[in-house]
Amino acid sequence: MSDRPTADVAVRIGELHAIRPGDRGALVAVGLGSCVGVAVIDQRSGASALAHVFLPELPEGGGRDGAGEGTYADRAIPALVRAVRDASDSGRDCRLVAVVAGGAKMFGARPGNDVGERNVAAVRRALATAGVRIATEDVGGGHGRTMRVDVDDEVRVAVRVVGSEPQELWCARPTQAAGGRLAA
Amino acid sequence: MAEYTELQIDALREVANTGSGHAAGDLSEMLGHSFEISVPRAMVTDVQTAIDMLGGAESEMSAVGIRVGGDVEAMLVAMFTPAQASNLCKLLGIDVDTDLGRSVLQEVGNVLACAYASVLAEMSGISFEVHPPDVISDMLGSIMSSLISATSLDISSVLLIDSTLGVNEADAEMSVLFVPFDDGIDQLLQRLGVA
Repeated sequence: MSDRPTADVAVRIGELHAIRPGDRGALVAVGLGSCVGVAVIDQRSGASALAHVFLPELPEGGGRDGAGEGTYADRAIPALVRAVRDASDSGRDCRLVAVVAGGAKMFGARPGNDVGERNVAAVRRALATAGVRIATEDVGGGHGRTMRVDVDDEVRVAVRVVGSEPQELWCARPTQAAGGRLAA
Repeated sequence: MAEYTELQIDALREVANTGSGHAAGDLSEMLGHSFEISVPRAMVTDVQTAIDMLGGAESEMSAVGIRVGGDVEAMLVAMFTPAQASNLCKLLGIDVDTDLGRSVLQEVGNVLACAYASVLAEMSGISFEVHPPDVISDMLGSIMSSLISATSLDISSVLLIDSTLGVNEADAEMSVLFVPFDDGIDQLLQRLGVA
């Protein structure tokens, strides 16, 4: 993750990527259906990470080597926190917040086993455990979403559903962002 | 976790082949145009590769999803590009963006699911119930990831069987996906005689 992206970074299913001010690309998770996009943002430096969570937790007896670190909510959240801390300037106390989107109920959901709902619940639980507050969320419903995290002078998180314009979910200016862009 | 022998994949492909064949006959009758089918493709792949092979996460698709089964379950999904969905409805002189258009897509899904259910029942001896269809228009990535997360817990080896079915000259084709649920697949394979 030390390579500095110059184009948008696709955060594919089960993946997790981080960016910081000065990186030109945005983090984009396309096609979140029952999946949940979780952005964790350091409000001081602006460093941010986005995970494309697929399932609430590792299935019983299903230890999988191939699955990315963003795949399961219970593992993705600690990994996000680590990734943001790594991407922030060292020695700085991070002030983390989270933005959560996705978890739609689409087809295939069986009564009592709605993966979207369970994903959102697992993400909230894991964020609470990690002590990261959810600043805002856009979850549930019946439509897929694309989530985008731009880190510039400001950190902006936007969500788009098919056939509509992107909606800004959250935006803030990092409190200690000075020099980030120039240094790049 | 999920690994299949060639024989097992062939048996499931045969379900898809026969199911799509029956469905093509029924749809030809229903819509008054000759439906053709392709030889089903079977893959065991990771979910992201499956999405890329079917057209990419961002492509907009209309999909009809139907769950069939009771003890053993599978999802059947017919997927159309917006143009294909529109062309299919046009065969009946109907605008896809109306309630009637939507119900045409539902009905196509129903016909498919009933054909597969009867083929599955015949081949396995298990009775398959057909649930009501859901029609959605969304990004392929959302559609597929939701489908796979509902059917399988093992995203790195997803079993997917797809074929195309449609009226070639009218560009009214659809992808038909047959996705057995993970938790019943062993029983299904057993009943198909390839456990």
